[in-house]
Amino acid sequence: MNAIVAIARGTFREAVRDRVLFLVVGFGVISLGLSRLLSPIALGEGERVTVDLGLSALGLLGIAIIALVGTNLVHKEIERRTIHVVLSRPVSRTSYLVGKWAGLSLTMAVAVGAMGGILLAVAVSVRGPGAVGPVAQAVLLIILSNTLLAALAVLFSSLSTPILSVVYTLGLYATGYWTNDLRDFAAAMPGGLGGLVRGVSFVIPNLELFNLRPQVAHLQTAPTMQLALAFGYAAAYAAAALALAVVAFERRELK
Amino acid sequence: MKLLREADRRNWRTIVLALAVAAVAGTAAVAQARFATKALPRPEPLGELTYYPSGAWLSQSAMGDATAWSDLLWLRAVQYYGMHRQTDNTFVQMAHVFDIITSLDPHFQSAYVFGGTSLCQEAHQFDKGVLLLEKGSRNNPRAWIYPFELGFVHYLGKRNLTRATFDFAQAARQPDSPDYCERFAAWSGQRAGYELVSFELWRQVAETTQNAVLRDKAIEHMRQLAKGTPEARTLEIWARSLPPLQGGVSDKISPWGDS
Repeated sequence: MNAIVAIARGTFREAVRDRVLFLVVGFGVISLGLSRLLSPIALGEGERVTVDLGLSALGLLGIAIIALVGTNLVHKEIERRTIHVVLSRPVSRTSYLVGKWAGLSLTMAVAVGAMGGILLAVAVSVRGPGAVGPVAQAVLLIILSNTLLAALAVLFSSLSTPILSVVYTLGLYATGYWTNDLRDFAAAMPGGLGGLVRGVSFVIPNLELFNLRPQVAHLQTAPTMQLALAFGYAAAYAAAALALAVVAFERRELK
Repeated sequence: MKLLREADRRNWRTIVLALAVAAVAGTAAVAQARFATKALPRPEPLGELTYYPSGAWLSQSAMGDATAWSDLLWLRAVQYYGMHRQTDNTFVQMAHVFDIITSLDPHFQSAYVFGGTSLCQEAHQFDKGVLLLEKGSRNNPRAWIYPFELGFVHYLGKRNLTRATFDFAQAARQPDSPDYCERFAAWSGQRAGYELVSFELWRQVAETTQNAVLRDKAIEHMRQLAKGTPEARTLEIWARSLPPLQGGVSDKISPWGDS
């Protein structure tokens, strides 16, 4: 456990020093500002557009951190051979990967959480105190969905090159919002193909479960069951992805 | 040697344990996803678009991919139509959404025709349906299909034979217009039997569309018109002779019904 915490802390420090993170956070701040600037041309829907585009910017910020920082985590250490220094200590490969995931998730959670705080303040100022619950829930679920994606990034990072890892992670991020549609398409497809597509739709991360943007637009909070399911699903999915990453990493020859 | 074997055994133990964790956690994740699909309310298709002021606004943000976005929205719009057709039969967002789709792609014929006729008939938003078809006509002035559909909805929806005659005649004047445009203009102008002309209009739709939902709708209207007449039996034989299309109301509203 100590090893996991130490590696997570190291990963967090390393990510915070990374210039990419500053670029991504800068982009997030600009997006938030732009969403506010757009409101005068939104024909009376400015407040709603500000909050919703702000949440979209937060989601993008999270996935950008994971794609740009996370997919390079393991590969960079193998390339620089610093991984040998770490693994020569009493640190198992499992602890190493879980630590990397925890550090990456922490980095993302701090960045998204900080931006979420700014968005919350903006939301309260434009839509009143009724926005606190819906926006806070939406930010929390964005962080949760990104911890799941961070586990996938670590899995791909331990299997493949950084560029391919980015492609795989972003691909799953994009299709993750289409799982419901995939199931509808599967229902209209002939037997075997329909079954296959339906099966795939359950393997792809169901990111729609974490999407509260439509509710926030109407200042509604999510049902408790959805929040509980989102927590449980993120935990189970991340555990499965990390376990597969461990299998791949244990078998990998480190030269 | 012994040390190496021991390390190897530990390695395999970790792999087997990790695989077991992956299997259990993966099963739990799939089970929760399945449960969520059943237990949680489905997000409203197109709900996310309700606050976009207009398609023009959206096309600015599409950054060169406006047609791809219009395709994606078309898929969502068909889902929206299917969902409400099977449940409450109210189509509050439809006019707005089809306006967005056709602003993103001003030449998207299926969106104008399907959206316009559905708004006039199922959604009971005649004026908005006509506006959509007129927008199609404005953006595609040499296309016969839009004045023809305008004549169609005015004839069947409002029994406005004067306007319908004008629209059918407009359609007949366009290049590549089929013969039946002129025929319908003549029938409508001569005030031919309303049921007969309606039946023929729907037959034309059923025979020419590639959209399974539209064909099902046309056949249903023809059945109603032919009810209790000797043609009812012939109609069923004729309907069975039509080449099959994918999807349709009869075998679930399908997102694959695009023409």
